[in-house]
Amino acid sequence: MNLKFKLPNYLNKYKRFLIPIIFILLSVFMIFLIIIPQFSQISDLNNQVSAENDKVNTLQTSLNALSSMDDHDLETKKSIATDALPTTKDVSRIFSALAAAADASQTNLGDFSLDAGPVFGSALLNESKVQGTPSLEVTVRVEGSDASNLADFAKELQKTLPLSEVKKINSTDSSANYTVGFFYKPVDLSVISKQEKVTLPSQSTDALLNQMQTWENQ
Amino acid sequence: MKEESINLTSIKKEEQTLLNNFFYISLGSFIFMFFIAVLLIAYSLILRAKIASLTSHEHDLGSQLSARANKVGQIALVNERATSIKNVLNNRDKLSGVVDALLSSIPTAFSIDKIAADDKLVSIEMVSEKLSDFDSFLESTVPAIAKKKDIGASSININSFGQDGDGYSLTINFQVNQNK
Repeated sequence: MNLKFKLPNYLNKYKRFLIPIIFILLSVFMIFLIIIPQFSQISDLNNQVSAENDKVNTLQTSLNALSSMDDHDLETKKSIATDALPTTKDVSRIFSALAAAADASQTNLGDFSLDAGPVFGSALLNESKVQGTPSLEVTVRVEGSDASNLADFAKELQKTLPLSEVKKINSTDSSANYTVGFFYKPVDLSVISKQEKVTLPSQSTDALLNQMQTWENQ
Repeated sequence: MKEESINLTSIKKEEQTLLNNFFYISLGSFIFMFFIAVLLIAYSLILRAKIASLTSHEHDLGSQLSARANKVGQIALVNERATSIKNVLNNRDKLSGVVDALLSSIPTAFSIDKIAADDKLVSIEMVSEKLSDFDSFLESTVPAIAKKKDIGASSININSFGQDGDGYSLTINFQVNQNK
């Protein structure tokens, strides 16, 4: 007998097994084509839900923080912060700081000169131990009654805004030459625009700005 | 002959029972897998709907935040300035503080003629009429200065000593390390 005649016989003989085998094949099919892929998909989806939840929470916290911050208070803080560390080389503020320090130390301000530094090009900024914050170097002559009186000028200068550092002192009887670096820092828009989360100024920031305000008002 | 017929019937019955069991087990496993598959698909759809809802909420909040971008920028600026100010205050040269500490350590019997200072060396020229003032200065004041942490002197050298008019003049160099 050839296959054409054998097949109906086989089907007839084993037809009772056909339905259970189909069920088992369908079960296997569901395991490999639906259940296992769904498990991995659900894991990915759960991760996505968690990430989205985090983003929403961050945005919500940011919005709450924005609402709780008083506009006038923020403006004051910004003003103090930029007075302490200006965004540009502000010569008039530097002169005001020198005059205030001279006034507080009871000395007289003589002539002063600025080393404005490179205007264009990738030349090095003035050297300072403060990494990432450039300074404008100023040489100033001060006249006073004695050396300790002249030293007071440097002490007072440390407590005026914009922030500065005294780099060199050369003092004789009644006059002294100081080399002072006045700090400034251009606004890094890339850092500010990348802010995804709004964090209100911390307590330490508030304390620092209050200290800056007392220096400003001296 | 009768016994054989009875045996065949019982074998057929056993076969039928086995076949029935096979059928029920296969049907049961199919129903179970189907149920699991439906549950998983339903859960997956719920999660997708949740993501869609969260994304929409996120867009809403994002647009609310964008509308207040100016305030966001101001807060970021204040925080950025504060970080930089802390950095400046912690790391700037403390030369004026060092000079002030040195001058306040020097006895009032001396008058200060010259000060030359930079971030590494502070040189002070002081004058007094009495030699004994220099003795006590070198014996007790200099060791005390060497111990002061706010001065941070790593070495102290006498640069020159001589007569100056009616008195005597001493130039003393302090090697300082301001960040220690």
